[in-house]
Amino acid sequence: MIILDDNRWTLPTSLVSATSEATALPAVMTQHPERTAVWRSLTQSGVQALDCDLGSVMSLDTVAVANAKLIMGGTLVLQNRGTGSTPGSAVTVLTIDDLDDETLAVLETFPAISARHVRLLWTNPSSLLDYAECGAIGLGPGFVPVDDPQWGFPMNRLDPSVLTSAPDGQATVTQRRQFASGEWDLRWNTTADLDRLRQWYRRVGTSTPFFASFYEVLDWTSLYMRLTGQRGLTGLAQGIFDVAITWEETR
Amino acid sequence: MRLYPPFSVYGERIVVFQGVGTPVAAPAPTLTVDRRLYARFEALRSLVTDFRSLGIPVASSYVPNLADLLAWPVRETIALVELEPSVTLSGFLAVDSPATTYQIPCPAFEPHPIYPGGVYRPVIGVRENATDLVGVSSVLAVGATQGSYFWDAAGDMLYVHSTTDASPDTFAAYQAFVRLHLATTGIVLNRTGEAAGGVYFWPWITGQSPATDDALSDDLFAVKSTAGGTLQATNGHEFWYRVFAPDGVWNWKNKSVRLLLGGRYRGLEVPYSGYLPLATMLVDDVACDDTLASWTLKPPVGILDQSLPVTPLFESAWPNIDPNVRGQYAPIGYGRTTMTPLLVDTSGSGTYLIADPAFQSLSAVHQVTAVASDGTRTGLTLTTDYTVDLAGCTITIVNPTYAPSATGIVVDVTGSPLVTFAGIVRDILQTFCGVRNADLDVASFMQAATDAPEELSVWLTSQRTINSILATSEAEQPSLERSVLGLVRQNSAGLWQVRIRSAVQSPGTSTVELATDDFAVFTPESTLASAFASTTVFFGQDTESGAWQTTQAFDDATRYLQETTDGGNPLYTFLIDAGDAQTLAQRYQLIAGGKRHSITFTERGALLYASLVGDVAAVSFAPAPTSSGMFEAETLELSEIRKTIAPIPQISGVFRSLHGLGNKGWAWAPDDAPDDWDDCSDTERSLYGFWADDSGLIDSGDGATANLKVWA
Repeated sequence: MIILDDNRWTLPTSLVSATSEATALPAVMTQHPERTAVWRSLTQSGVQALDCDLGSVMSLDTVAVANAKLIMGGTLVLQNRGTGSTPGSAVTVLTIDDLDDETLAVLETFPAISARHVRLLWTNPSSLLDYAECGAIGLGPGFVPVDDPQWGFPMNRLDPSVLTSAPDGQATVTQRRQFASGEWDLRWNTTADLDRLRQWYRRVGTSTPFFASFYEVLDWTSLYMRLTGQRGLTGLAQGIFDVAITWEETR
Repeated sequence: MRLYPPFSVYGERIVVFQGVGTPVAAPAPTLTVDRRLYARFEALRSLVTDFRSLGIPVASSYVPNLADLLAWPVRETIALVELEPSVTLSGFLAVDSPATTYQIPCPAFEPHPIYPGGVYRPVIGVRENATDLVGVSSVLAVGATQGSYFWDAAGDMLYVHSTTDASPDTFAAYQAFVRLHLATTGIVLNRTGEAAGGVYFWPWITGQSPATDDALSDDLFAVKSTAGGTLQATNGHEFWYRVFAPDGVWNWKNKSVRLLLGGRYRGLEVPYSGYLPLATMLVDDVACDDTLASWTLKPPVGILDQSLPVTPLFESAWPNIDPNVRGQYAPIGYGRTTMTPLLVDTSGSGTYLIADPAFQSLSAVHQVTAVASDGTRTGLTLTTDYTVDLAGCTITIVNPTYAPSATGIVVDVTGSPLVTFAGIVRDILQTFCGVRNADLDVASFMQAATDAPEELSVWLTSQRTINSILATSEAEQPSLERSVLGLVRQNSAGLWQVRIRSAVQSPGTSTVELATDDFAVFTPESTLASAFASTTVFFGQDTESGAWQTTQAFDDATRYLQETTDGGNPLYTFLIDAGDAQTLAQRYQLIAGGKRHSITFTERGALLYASLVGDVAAVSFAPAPTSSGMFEAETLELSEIRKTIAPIPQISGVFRSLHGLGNKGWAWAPDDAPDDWDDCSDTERSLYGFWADDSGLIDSGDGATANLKVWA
């Protein structure tokens, strides 16, 4: 399990720009917590990119995106543009997997890099006239709790659609977006892990969405989500703690 | 790369192109085809697969639309809300010298306390006091055009040229209208006329939403709209605090709110142009707290609450006014009438005011008559006895013999040349209510002029509300709708429409079809209490004496079978022709006098979302209270319709049958239609109404025409 508990992309000190942007859908929209509030490039035949100046050199090993639209036939690539005060040449870090059809999100880890300038590149191998789009981005050092609940975590998928019936039973369904929800029960946390979980809960609470993946190998376990309830904390033994938190996928 | 031309396979036009966007799947109707045709489809499928593997988009020419969305039983409906408040502008700086163009910062994004970048709020208009400025496309054009503006979205700057060249800061009020985009779900739509690439509709609509409720409040007449209620949006992000602040620059009172409906179905998304405007309302009040922002809304039909005539007569305008006239109102007049003019100047031999020159002129003064105290009437001669000022709406007596001290004056006059329902309603809306051409469904007015050519005489001498002039059941008060079985209403886009029931279902007009499985609730109501056996029409009022002419229509079948001699509400009309009045009496008795179905319903889906009060639908429902035990495409009129958008779109209301019209699409025979049954085509026979004789025969020599008619 990986929690992107400290998103560097959305820090107030991170400056985001794009190769091009529609007037009402600027690059800064990717820093909004609303996943549907998207950056959209202009419709062009070249590549498109989002650049982020993190303000200082940071260690990064996890990237995640939600509600992204690739250019037809292209891919999404994370690039390192150096540690200087101005961006340097781009070095590809990894090609990010396609978003999962159900969660509309993907989370990837990579060997840690030090970077101040990073780029998300939408490739356009066929030079098609198309646009790129992205709703939310996560970038930072991922947190892997000691106790990994990848085996046995409860994860329910809910459909809040509304059904109206006719006298004979025929139904009209007003569809609403499905979402996953559940509860983490992180057992056997050390004091160090507990401190990080406590800091994270204080920082994001129930207000700020974040990325997490229950099992990185399975794309459908990568979610853009928010905490929905209280943080339960149980001291099991001296220096060992159980943390329980409820969560819900953002829609 | 080769660009393939469009080609066709049995009518399905497939367009292959190097283009934009994610491939979409065309709707897949069930189709049974022979083996050879199936092979061609398979070949096409393979071709499409090949194109897509090469990265070439392949799209269907099918455009997702609201009708298909509402007909599809599984759909994601999305309601959009477009708020159009204004921002007060002050602190302009001159751009040029001598100054004509002024600039003021006007950002495209309203700062948000939490979200980076802010909320998009394009400028959609600029108003100087009560005058809307004209939008132009450059700063240079602003300098060249008085009363213009240009919003530089990229530069966040607004350029203005006032109507007088003076600084905008010298005017009482300068405001820029902006648009905020909200929705029940976050969605980017390409809104025509706004930023290329799309506009984001914030997913802030929650909880309560406004509803529209339109109903006929007076039998078949008087659409009463209570559109409004409360619109709620989230405010946990605290955006609305600053834009609602009383000490801020935002103005909300009486600003527009538009609701639109669209959505997604079968993996397809309705484009913005396909969204249906549900209602346009006005903001009455705003408030917000830690969790919610709310707008109290009201319908725009309040403009019909004002009264006519509007100009009182006092010495300030007429220094020598007759004391008996002082305080009365200058009449408003359409068509021809005989009336007693108002003595507004007693000097000389007297000047009489016939109508209000601020709003109209006279078409003709046909006759001026002096009425002596003993009742003797003397026709006067133009020039010798009186002069006429058609533009000033006055006559001046020049022969002292007929001075006010000696005689009274009566005039036979035509005021405004507009004499039909459609023309008069349109003039009242535009002249007195400020309704613009763009606010009218002009086609409906043209159709109504054809459907209701009856000549009216509408002379308003004492104050009545426009609502009352349009429709009232009050005795002695004629009304326009009752004169011609008309309706005045606003459609969901806010356009004013008129409709005449002489065309209940115009030929070629599509009708919404509803069946049992389209209803969630279907409850027939009682129908006997409203039956009546006669209708009385009052017409041709003598404006001198106040006396009415009357005509009546009787329905003996109702009288005997329902054992009632009750008369329906009398119709007080502006009609002047006895034949027109008799026709109206017959028609009203026919469609309103007998037993009528009345059904309260709630729709399962939303097929009636575009329908208005007065529209008809073809309803099939079983079981139902008919002699056959069911409705089979029964033509029913909507006498009330309520529309809500959240938490799910829902339509409810009341259907009512039009009694004698039966289960037909139906229209009165137009004047140019054959009036002889023998000369009519089968279509005309099924479409039009015909008079029958006392035996119930349309053609007295043809027994087969018995009971094909509807009144005796």
